Amino acid sequence: MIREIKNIINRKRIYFLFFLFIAGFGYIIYNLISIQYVYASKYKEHAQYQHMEEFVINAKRGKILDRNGTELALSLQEKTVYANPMLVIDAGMQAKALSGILEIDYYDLKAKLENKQLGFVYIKRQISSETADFISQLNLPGIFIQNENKRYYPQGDIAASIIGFTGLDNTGLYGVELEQEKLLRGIDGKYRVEKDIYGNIIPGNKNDYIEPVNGSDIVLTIDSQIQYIAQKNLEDVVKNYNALRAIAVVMNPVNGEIYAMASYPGFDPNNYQDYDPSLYKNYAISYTYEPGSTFKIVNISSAIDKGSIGIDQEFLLPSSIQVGDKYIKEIFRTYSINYNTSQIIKYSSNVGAVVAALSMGKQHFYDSMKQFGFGSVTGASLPGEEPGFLYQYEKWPSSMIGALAIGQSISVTPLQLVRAACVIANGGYLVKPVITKEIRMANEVIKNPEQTDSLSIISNQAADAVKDMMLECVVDGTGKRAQLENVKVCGKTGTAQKANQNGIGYTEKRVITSFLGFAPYDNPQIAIIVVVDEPHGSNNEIWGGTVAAPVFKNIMSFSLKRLRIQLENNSFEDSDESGETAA
Amino acid sequence: MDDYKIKDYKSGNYYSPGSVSRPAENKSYGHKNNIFGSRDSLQQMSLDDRRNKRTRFDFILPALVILLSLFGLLIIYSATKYSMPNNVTDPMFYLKKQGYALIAGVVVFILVQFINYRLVAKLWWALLILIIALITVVLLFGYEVHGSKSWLDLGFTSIQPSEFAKVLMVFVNAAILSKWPREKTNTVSFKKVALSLLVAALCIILVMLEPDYGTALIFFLTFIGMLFLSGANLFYFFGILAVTVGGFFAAIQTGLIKQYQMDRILVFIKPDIEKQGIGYNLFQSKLAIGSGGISGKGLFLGRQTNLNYVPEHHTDFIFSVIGEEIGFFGAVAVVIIIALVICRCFYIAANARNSLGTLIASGIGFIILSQSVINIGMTIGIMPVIGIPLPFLSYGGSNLVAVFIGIAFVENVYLKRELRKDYEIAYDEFD
Repeated sequence: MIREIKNIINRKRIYFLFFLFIAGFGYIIYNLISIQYVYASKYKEHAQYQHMEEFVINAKRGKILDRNGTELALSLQEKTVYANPMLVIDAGMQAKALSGILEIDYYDLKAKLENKQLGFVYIKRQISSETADFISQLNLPGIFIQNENKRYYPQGDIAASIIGFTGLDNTGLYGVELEQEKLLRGIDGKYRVEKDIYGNIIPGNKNDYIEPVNGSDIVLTIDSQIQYIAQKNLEDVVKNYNALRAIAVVMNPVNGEIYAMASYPGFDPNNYQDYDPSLYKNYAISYTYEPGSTFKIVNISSAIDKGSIGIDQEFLLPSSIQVGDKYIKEIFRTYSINYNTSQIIKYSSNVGAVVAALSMGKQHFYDSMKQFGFGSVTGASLPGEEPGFLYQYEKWPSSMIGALAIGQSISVTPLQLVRAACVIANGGYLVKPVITKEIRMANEVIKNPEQTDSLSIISNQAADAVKDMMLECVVDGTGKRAQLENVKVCGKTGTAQKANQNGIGYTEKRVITSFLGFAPYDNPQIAIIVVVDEPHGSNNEIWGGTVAAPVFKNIMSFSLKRLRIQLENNSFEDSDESGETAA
Repeated sequence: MDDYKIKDYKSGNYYSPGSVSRPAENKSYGHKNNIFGSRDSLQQMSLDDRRNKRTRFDFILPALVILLSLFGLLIIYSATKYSMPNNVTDPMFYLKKQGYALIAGVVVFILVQFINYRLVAKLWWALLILIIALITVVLLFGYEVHGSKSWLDLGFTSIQPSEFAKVLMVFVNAAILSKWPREKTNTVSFKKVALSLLVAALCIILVMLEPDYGTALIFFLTFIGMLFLSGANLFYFFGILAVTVGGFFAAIQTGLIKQYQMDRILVFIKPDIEKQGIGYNLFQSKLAIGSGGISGKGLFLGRQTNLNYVPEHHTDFIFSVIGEEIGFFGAVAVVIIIALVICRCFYIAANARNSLGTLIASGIGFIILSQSVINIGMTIGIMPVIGIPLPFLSYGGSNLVAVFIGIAFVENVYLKRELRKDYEIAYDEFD
C-alpha cells in the first residue's frame, strides 16, 4: 500500500511539473508570436537597415568643349588608396607589400596603418588604374581603393572666365561649370550591397544597382584659338599701356554666337586658389562702365530710326552746347562746323550726338535704349551677368539726356555694347548672345539650345545708314587704326572719362578707351568690342582709336582668317576643316 | 456477474470484479487496449507472451530525436556555410563534424539497448568517480574557449566532459534517490537526499571551477527536479531551493558575483544595460527571429545569421537561425517537437514502474527541458543569456552524444521496464 501512495504523490508532482512545462513552452510560443508576427515588420526593417549599405557611384562630369571640339574642361578619374587601420590585421606585412607597389616609405606607411584610432587614412592619391587593380586583387584587409573625379582644364587660362571651375566636391562654382551644373553633373548611381557585421561586402545579387547617368558634354560657341589671340592681345595692351584691365568680346552679329570673351588679367582654373577671387569674374558680362562715344551709334541709329534726324541731314554744330545746367563740348573743336549725320559718327562729335538725342526727345531715347537691351541682362547663359544701369526717364535731371547722348550717366557691360553693334551689323535685329552651341546628352544631342528669334528693333535703313557711318569712321575717321587690308571694317571709337570713385564728376586722367566694330562691311560676320580700362601714356595718345583700335584690328584679322571667311567674296563657311588655318 | 462494472479511475476501462488478477493488471500505467489486444485474449495469454508483447521498443522517442538531429544538421549547415573557422574552406566543415557526432550518438544509442539500465544502480559509485575524474582532468589538462576551461583535446577530437557529466549525474542521483537493494519500499530518506545533494554539489562546484555557470545551472535544475519527482519530502526540496537562492543573493551582497555579471544575467529584463556586449547579441538575435516573420526568409537565406550579426549562431544561438530562416511556423514546429521529446521522456518515466527508471527518464527529461527553455528563452529575450546549447540542434558533438546517451537510457528504461504485475513481483520477491 505504501508504494501506491508514493506513486500517487509522484503522479501529482508529475502533473504539477507538466503544468509548469506547458506554461514554459506556452510562454515561449507567446513570445514568438509577439516577435515574429506582431512586431515582425519592425524587426525586419531594422535588420534590413543594418545589412544594407549604399554606395554612391559618382556620375562622370561632362566635358566642356569649344566649337571645334577642343577640350576646355574634362574629368579625370583618379584612384586613391586609403586604409581603415581598425580593420588592418598585420600592419607590418601590409606596409611591406604596399610600400613596394606604391613606392612610398615603409616606416611612414606602417605608422599610418598601426594607428588604430583612425578609421580612415589616405595612403596614396592619384595612382594608376593598373596599380589600383593590382592592390585590390591582393585583398588586403582594411585597404581600399576609391575612385575620385578630378576636374582638369587642359587649356589652362584660355577661356577660364567663361568656363569657371569646380570646387573640391566637384560642384561648379563659376562660369559654365556653375551655370550648367545640373547637366554637367549627371545623376549619381547607387549600389546597395549587403555587408556582414565586419563591414565586408557580400558578393552576389546586384539587384540594387542603379547605373549612374554621366553628365552631358557642353559644346560652347567659343573658338579657343580666337579666345587665345584675344587674351594674348589684351595681355599685350595691358602691359604696353600699364592698364588696369582689358576686355574683349568677339561675337557673331547674325546668330549671337560668342566666339571669344576675354579679359586680362585672368586666372588658371587648374589652380584657381592661387589667384585673387576678383579675377574669377567674367568681366565681359559683369564689368559695367560708362561707354562714352561708342554709345553714339545707339543714339544716332535710334534717332534715324525714329525719323528725328535724316540720314544726310546737315547740322550746324557749335563747339559746345548747353543741356539743362551742363555744357557739353567738343574735345578738339573750338569753332562751329557743318556736319552731316555721317560725320557725327565719323568724327565722334559730342555736340552732334546731343543734338540727335534732343531731337528724339527723352521718352523715345529712353525707349530705344531699353530696346537695345541696356539696363537689363542679355540673357547669355552665364552666371554673374550685370544688367548695367539706366535711369528711368521720368527721373532724369535736365542735363541727363545730354550726358546719355555721349555715353555718360549710363553703365553698360561690354557684352551689351557689342550686341548694340550687332544690331547695326545685322540690319536692325537684337540678337541674344549665345554661349552654348550643343548639349551632348547620353542619348540625344540638343543643338543650339539657346537660339531664339531675333527681334527687329530698328529699321534696316537706319541700321545700314549707321553701318555706313561706322565704315567711314574706320576708313577716314577716329578709327583708322582698325583698318584691315582687303576687308572693309566698320567701327566706332570710345574714350570715356571714368567717374571718380566717390561718384561725383570725372577725372581727365582716368579713362576707358574702347573700340566697337564689325566686319566685313558687306556681310558682317564678326562683331568685336575691345575695352581697355585706364591705360596710361602721354596725354595725346590715350584714345579709343589709338589704344583699343589696334587690338581690335589684331583680333578681327585673326578671327576672320580663323573662321575662314573668304575675304574676296565674303562668303561664310563654318566648317571644322581647320588644317589650312594659321593657328 | 456482469450486471455491475467498476470503472478504473486511471485507465478509464470498465471491468467486472470477476477475477482477482484483473484490477491489478489494469493498474499498470500506460497500458493501451489497442497494443494489448482485447481483454478476452489477454486472459488467455501466458506471462511470457505478455512479456514479449510489452517489450515493444518505443519508436516514437528515437524517431523524434533523429528527426530533430537531422534538422539540426541542416540548420547548422545553413548557419555555417559562410562562416568557417580560419584555414577551413569546406562549407560543410561543421556539418560533417556534427554528422559524425550524430552517427556516434546513434551507435551509442543502439549499444545501450543491449545492457540493462538497472546496472546503474550497481555501478553508480563508479559513475561518480568517472564524473570527478572527467572534470578534474579537464580542469588540469583542458583548454579554454570563451573564458571557460571546459574543453579537452583527445587528439582526434575535442570533447566537453561537462556535457557527459550532466547525463552521468542524472544516473548517479537516480541510483541514490531510487529504491535501494533490500529496501522494502521506496522511501527517500534524509540519508539519500543528503548523499544526492553532496553529489550534485560536487558536480556543480567542479563545473563552476572551469568556470561554466550555464552547465552548473543545468546541474542544479536537473537535480532539484529529480529530487522533486523522487517523492522526497518537500521540506528537503524547498530547503535546498531556499538555501540556494539565499546563497545567490548572499553572493551578490558580498560581491562574489560582480555587478557586470549580474548585468549580463539581467540583460533580458533590461536590454539597455549592456547595449554593446550581451545586450547587443540579444538584440541581434531578436532581430533575426523577428525579421523571419511568419514564414521565414527561406532555408539558407537568413541574412542576420549568415552575415554574422548574430554571434555563436551555430551553437548557442541556433534558434535564431531557425526563427529567421523558417519563420514562426518552423520555430513553433521545432518547439513542439522538442516538447514532444520531453513529454515522451516523462511518459516513459511515469510508466517505468521502477523508481530508478523513473528518475533516469525524468532526469534526462529535465536536462532537455531546462536546456531547451533556457536556450530558446535566451534567443527571444525572456531568459538570461547563458551559454547553454539547444539539445539536438546546436552544433557540438559532446552535447549531441551526451544527450543521445541520455535518450538511449530513457529508451532502455522503456525497453527493460518492469513487466511483471505488482503481485508477481511480490510473489517473486517472496519466492
